[in-house]
Amino acid sequence: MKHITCNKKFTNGFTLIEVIVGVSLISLVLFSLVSVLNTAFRLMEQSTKSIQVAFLLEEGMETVKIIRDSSWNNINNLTTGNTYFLEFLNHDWIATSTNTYIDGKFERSFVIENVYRDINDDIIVSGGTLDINTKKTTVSVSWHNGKSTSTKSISAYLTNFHEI
Amino acid sequence: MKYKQNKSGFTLVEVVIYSAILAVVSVFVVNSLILMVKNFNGYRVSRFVNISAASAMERMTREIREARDIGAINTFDSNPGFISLDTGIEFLSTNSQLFIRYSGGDDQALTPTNLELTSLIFRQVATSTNPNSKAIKIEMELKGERGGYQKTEKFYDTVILRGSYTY
Repeated sequence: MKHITCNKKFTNGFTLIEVIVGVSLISLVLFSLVSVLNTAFRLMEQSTKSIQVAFLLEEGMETVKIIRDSSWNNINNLTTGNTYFLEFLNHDWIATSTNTYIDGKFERSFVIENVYRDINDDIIVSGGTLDINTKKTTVSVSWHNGKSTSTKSISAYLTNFHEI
Repeated sequence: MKYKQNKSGFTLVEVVIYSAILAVVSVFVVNSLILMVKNFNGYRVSRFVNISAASAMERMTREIREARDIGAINTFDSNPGFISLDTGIEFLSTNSQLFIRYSGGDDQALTPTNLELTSLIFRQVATSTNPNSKAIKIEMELKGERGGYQKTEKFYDTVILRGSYTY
């Protein structure tokens, strides 16, 4: 009789320890589920910015080409290595040294570099002769990505094909 | 027998502890569920905006890039914008949706009905200062909404009409 009572006491219902263990297990599972969803949501938000940045980069490169199209000197007279920004002013894209944030979120800049060619007219990194009718341009877009700043860049060679 | 009676059932302290735990767990579970639904809605809206914006912008930039000239009738600098290209393709905004129209053909939607095209503005890059090429600037704003979650995003691009190059 005593033995049965004792057994009953331990098998019936939950003890406080069991309840606490159970609750913490459920909490842990729920917490991880919520954090997975949170991460997925945050990444999706960031991917929206990546898409916006991709189009801004494309626009930046097209814009530099528009500036080149109107006159090669617009590109040729820019100081190589300096950071320039793009502004849509009176229906015209212009290169400016004043920074303009796009929607207060994105910073877009571009850099012009000289291009050197070897004896076979191939572009080389160092040495060779300066090609005055070719310039390398790099367009970059920076934006805040939570705690850090992300930057994406694209590069292309511009040639003076309108005037030669 | 007296000893056994004392041990059965719950004491007041036990009931209080268990209900407190139940309350805390319930609050946590309900909060998690609300957060999950909110995140799910946000995820769906973001996904729709991302896919629609990318495909709509891609389509517009490709068609503009392929064209040689801009057509006669256009709505520049104001919303809703309208452009026609010499390839016979037109882009227009009807009932907050972006449509592509082939010459004489039906309009085909480029953005889904569950998104709102809140703004579509085309601008032409001045030809007076830029005689060698024609270019169009696109400014598009898409708005998505689902279960109290709202998202409005702007997309920009400028495209040169490659066929407009004069040599």
